[in-house]
Amino acid sequence: MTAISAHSVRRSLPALSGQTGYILLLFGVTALLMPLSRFVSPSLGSWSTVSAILVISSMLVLVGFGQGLVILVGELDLSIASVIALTGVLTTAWLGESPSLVTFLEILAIAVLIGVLNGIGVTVLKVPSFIMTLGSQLIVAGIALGYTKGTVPGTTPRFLGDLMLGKVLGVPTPILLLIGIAVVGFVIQRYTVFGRRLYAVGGNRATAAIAGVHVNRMIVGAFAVSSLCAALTGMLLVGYGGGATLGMGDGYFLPSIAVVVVGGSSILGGRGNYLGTVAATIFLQTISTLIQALGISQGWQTFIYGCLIIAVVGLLKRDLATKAGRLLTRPGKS
Amino acid sequence: MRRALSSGTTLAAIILVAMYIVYMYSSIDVLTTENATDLLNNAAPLVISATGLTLVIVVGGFDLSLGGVVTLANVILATQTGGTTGSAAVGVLLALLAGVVVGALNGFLVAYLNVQSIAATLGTFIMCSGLALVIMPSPGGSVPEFISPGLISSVGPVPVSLLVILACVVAYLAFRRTRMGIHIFAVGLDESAAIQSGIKAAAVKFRVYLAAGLLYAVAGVMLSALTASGDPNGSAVFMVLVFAAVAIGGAKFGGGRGSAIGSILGAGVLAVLQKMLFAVGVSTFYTGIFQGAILIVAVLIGMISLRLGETRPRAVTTDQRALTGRPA
Amino acid sequence: MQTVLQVDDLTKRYGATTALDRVTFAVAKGSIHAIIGENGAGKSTLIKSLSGLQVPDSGTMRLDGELFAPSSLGESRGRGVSTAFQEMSLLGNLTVAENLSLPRLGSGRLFVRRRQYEAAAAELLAKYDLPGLSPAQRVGELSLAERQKLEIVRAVSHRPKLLLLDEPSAALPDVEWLFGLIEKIRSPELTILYISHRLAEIRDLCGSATVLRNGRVVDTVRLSDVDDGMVFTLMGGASDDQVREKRTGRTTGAPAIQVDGLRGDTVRDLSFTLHDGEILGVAALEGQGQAETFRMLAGASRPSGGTIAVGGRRSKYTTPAGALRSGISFVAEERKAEGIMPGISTLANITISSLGRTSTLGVAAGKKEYQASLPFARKVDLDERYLRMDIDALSGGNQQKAILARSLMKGSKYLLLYDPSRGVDVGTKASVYRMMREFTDSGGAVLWYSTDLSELVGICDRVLCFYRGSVVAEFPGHETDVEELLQAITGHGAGEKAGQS
Repeated sequence: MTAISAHSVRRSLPALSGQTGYILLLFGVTALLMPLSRFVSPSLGSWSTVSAILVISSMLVLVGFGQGLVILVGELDLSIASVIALTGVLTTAWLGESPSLVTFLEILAIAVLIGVLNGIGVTVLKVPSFIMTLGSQLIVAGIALGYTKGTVPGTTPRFLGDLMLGKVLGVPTPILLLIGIAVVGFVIQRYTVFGRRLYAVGGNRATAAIAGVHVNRMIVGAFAVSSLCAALTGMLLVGYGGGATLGMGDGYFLPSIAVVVVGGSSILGGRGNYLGTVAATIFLQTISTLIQALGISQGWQTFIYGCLIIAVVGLLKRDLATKAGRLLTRPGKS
Repeated sequence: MRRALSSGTTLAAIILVAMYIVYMYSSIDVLTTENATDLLNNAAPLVISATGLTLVIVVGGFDLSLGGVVTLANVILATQTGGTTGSAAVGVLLALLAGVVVGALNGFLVAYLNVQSIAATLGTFIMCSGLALVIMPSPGGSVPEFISPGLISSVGPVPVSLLVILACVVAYLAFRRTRMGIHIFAVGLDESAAIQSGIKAAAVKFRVYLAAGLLYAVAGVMLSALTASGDPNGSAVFMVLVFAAVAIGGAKFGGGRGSAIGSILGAGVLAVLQKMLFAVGVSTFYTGIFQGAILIVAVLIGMISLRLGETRPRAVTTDQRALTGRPA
Repeated sequence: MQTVLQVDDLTKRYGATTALDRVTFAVAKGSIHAIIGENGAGKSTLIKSLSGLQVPDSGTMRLDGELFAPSSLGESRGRGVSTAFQEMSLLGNLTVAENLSLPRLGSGRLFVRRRQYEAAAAELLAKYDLPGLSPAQRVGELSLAERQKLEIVRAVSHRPKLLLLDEPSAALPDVEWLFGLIEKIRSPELTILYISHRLAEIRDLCGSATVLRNGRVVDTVRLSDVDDGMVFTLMGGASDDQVREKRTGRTTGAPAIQVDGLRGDTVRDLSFTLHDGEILGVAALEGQGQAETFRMLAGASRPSGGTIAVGGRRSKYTTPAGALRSGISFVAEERKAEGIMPGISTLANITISSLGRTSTLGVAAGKKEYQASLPFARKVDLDERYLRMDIDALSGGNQQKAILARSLMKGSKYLLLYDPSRGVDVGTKASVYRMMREFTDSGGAVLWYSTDLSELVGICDRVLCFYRGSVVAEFPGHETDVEELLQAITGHGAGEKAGQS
């Protein structure tokens, strides 16, 4: 590739420095998989399958955003599954009958509180994050179980059902939501003061502190946003599935980490691009649709998830991501 | 005194005794043979896994694959249809083999490819979960009789699980007297200093993950004896309990410090806690809350006791950061 | 005389820096041979290559005439080379005896033999005059000096034919024990490579010395043939004057930062004053308290005593953010560890401290940020095209410029620069010097530590010499020279003799 074309690519995608190549690769492979999957099964590759994939992705993309921020600062949030379940339960129980903005905000506030407590445990008490969030995962799940005594009360609020099952101009609203989340998430992570400081903290805590960033506040903030995203996902899931269950978050626990890691973010923090998470989400959902169509079980699907994670973090490490990115963005370096 | 208190093992022993006393007062038939056997049966799988995890923690790593291996062993046993002792033996062998293979993969990734242990074992954990679902798509089945009730019954007056727990203790004490048993502490504290002392750090780490994988598989066998059936999704809470046991036992996340004896006592604390909560009539709905709280509190206690014992502050190494929450 | 070690054209590069550049020298069997050089001269890289911890890029080593290319410590030990490392390799959670007998721990096949290795350790401790240590004691409980002695005893215990001692006296209160040990082990079969910056010790022990500078061998000399001044000249080298012009007789303004009686882990009763408009240099060997001093001033580390006054007022900040508010900006020593934030663009690295100014409603986007940072990038000669790149893709020099631009952009009045020109190219150095001059000409003040003494001489208004945690000498920047500084920072200055304080 010549320096000129590289330069023009870089100029046309100035904000995507770094892992651009890898992300484009993921999107590209996904885009190829969709029509190619017709060869696997004639029912695949149609607009409706693509649409279904994107609709399902809209929820994982949201959890992935929060998890991504926590991973960005070099921690892990294992509590999201039970936050999803708890907010799902509260959504049907409190919002189902009489939707009100105050109740809606109350539910979100509870989630944010859980996130803040996670963050305080990690920063002030210095409990390793996976222990802290695993503990809060158990506690929150216990609260949800205790509150419901095993049976989830209430009904699905109508506005959530409309949101997740409706269409605007023939396009399912969750797809619009997906696009919106991708754009907003990308901007928050890359361009806001908050996002920048998270990168700084994850890249190098000592430097960030020397540069005047309040490291602990940023980490607490990341956990709070993660919980908030899990809560919103819980609500979307209620709308999508038409109700809440105590296990509704379980399917998001590992995938939320998987999409971030497969999306090219460093599990060590400091590196990552939200669009990578978005690409990885759609990619993995496409793969699982494909696997389902092939008649392969849920088990193989999970197995392949695991292999992909190992492939990305282990064998390729950051090399593929950075090399591919470099090919596209700065071959003229030397 | 200060030094004794700072030892995680002593602290865990004190907590265990205190808890047991409370438990004795909370219920009248605590000291019956059935109750004691029951307690030991519940503790055995925790004890074995905690022993394996402690080795990994001491060497400065972390191992999420434990849940996956335990589940895998469980479903392998639950799908052995023969019902004979022969098929049980095949099942156990297959389960142990699975543990060794997963452990070897972890070890290879962490020791030789320098992958962060959390990331590598997260991957293998997910792989194992998937394989477990492939082997057994939904809970059910039954494990061969040789295992359940075989492994939760008694040989004469002695419960099998007591023998297993004692075997763990003896094996660990013996291991501490081997070369590896000292090398793991060196590597966990400071890998480059260990290398400068002539230790082959990568080989030490690889073997630790391998041994841990095998122990998780044994734990899976013992757990199957307890549940008597298979459950491809059953390991999450179990895994958390093992983490908690190791934390209560005073192992230092980040490496270089810890004792399987402490973790074994920690496992005992959790087993007694479960019994105690049941005895005082706390609804099972809330068990999770107590388990979560005890996990966090245990880590805090462990950290405080470490701080008490530390005579001189030591600089935080990158490795340590990598573990406490990852990231360097 | 028979040659035991022959090193030829040994070269090792780390990215852009060349740590060893065609290093060639020979060591005679049975001698004690010194390796001397300033910080960063390549001594530790040489040690690592000889110990098998690091494989050189090219060149050869020969031991007793046979090719020697160890790829692990065990291999080098097997060939009879043993090292006492400066950054000690003892394990604090193991006992004295365990440390001494690693990795074998006794002759047992399956189990270690504690009694056996503890007896062996007791023997070693008695033989080498360490009666205060007990074999079963944990190394974590020992003092720094005891650890250093143990490290040396451990290296000696392998009965090497080539013993590498890397700054063996750095943590010792006196050299008596060390000299006694060397006396005891000396034999025609044992050769010692003695790495130190303490010339007095070297003169007492060694016959010949190889002087390293910037990764190259300057000369190998017989110590009886040269005087101290000549050795210092060899170590320091002539300054490359093309990038520095001396500034003379500038008058500086009011006190900017006043440090009085500062104390900490490595800092002992430190006092000095930095004035507005002044470039104040700090000259010191590694580990003389300068790192902690800078960190204390930057709010990154807490002093245990003494006061810091900024702009005439006693400061109370305890965090880097607080120091920044007081107008103090810190450029830390390790670019990779504490300077850059990898994974984000150079632009984002520059603006991280000034996001309040470059963002609108919390969003730091587009032109505004770019435009705002441009003048500061220019001030440090950072090419505009680098701003959009990930900072990891930049050379060390350009990364350093970006870090400096960050401090300038923050608008701090006082800059603490910790060795900003280490490992960067000549062009970047020139930019750094120019930036410092412009910065102080407009009223700012710079406290500047550099491992390259010759540049301190060229640029600073005054130079402070640190030794063992306090200021032992002060020179006007334009009247001193490298030799004078070297003598002061090695404790050879007025009143102090090497290794005896």
